[in-house]
Amino acid sequence: MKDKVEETRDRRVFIRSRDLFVLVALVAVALILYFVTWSTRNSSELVAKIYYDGQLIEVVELNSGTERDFQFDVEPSITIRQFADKSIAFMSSDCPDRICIKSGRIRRAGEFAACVPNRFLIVIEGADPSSGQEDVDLVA
Amino acid sequence: MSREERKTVSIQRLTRSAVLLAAALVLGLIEGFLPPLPAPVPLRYGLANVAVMATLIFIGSFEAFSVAFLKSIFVFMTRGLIAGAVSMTGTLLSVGVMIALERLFKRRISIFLLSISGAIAHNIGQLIFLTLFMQYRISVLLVGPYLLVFGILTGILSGALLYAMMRPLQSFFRRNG
Repeated sequence: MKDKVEETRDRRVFIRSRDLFVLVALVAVALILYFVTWSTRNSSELVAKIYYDGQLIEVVELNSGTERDFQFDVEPSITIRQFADKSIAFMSSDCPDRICIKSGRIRRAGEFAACVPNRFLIVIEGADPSSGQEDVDLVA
Repeated sequence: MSREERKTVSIQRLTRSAVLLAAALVLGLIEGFLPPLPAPVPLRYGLANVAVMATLIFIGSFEAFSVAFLKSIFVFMTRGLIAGAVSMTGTLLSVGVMIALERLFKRRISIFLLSISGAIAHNIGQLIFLTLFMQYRISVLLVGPYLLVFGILTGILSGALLYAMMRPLQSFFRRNG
């Protein structure tokens, strides 16, 4: 009896054929979410919204050819740079992990970079106000 | 089972869990040295989850929960309150989901299913923390596909690592005394 328990514990298969249904279902959900937000993702005008402590403090229009740095009095160690190729990134921060900087440049709708210790957040969204209705909050 | 034997078993569980906790901490450190995932949203590889899953499979639910919880406590101590809180929400949701599935499938769930569920739950837990902490500014519809797809990919990675380690782990845990 004890051996039998040991067997079921140890003998694990890596994948069963029925797991593929789960995989297909998950990919389907991802694709549906992706296409539901298609218009936002493909709106030609994207903006980067910069939040500090939950408050919107800057809306950056991601135009090609514009390159500039942003700094804010609330947290002087943070530098955010807008690049000419319509992307934006954290360049400097005094936080310990630098996850915000490691996130690199973000450019597509829905992408975000966060500096949690400094309470900074950059989210890319469609500039078209009507597309904002698709931005459903997790806890609405 | 005599009292002596029972005592031996509980000490064995304790020491084995401790070894796997140490493994989880080391894997977490190694992950810190790796380059960031080429993902559009900040995500982690979830290497430490390999040790948590091994604890769940070879020892038990309570021990797996303890390893995950103590691993997050370690993040609290070494990387500060906020990094610890981010780690804690993802880790606890992840281990909770894995324990539930392990019980639901009567300890016969495949490694693949266990590890992608854990990875996706981890991502969702962190998203919940970020949206609460950052006052709901992240659109779930926009971020959701990334979290799912990268949860699947990192889940396959940690699942494959665990599967590769199954034989050495089996011989380690078969040994009695």
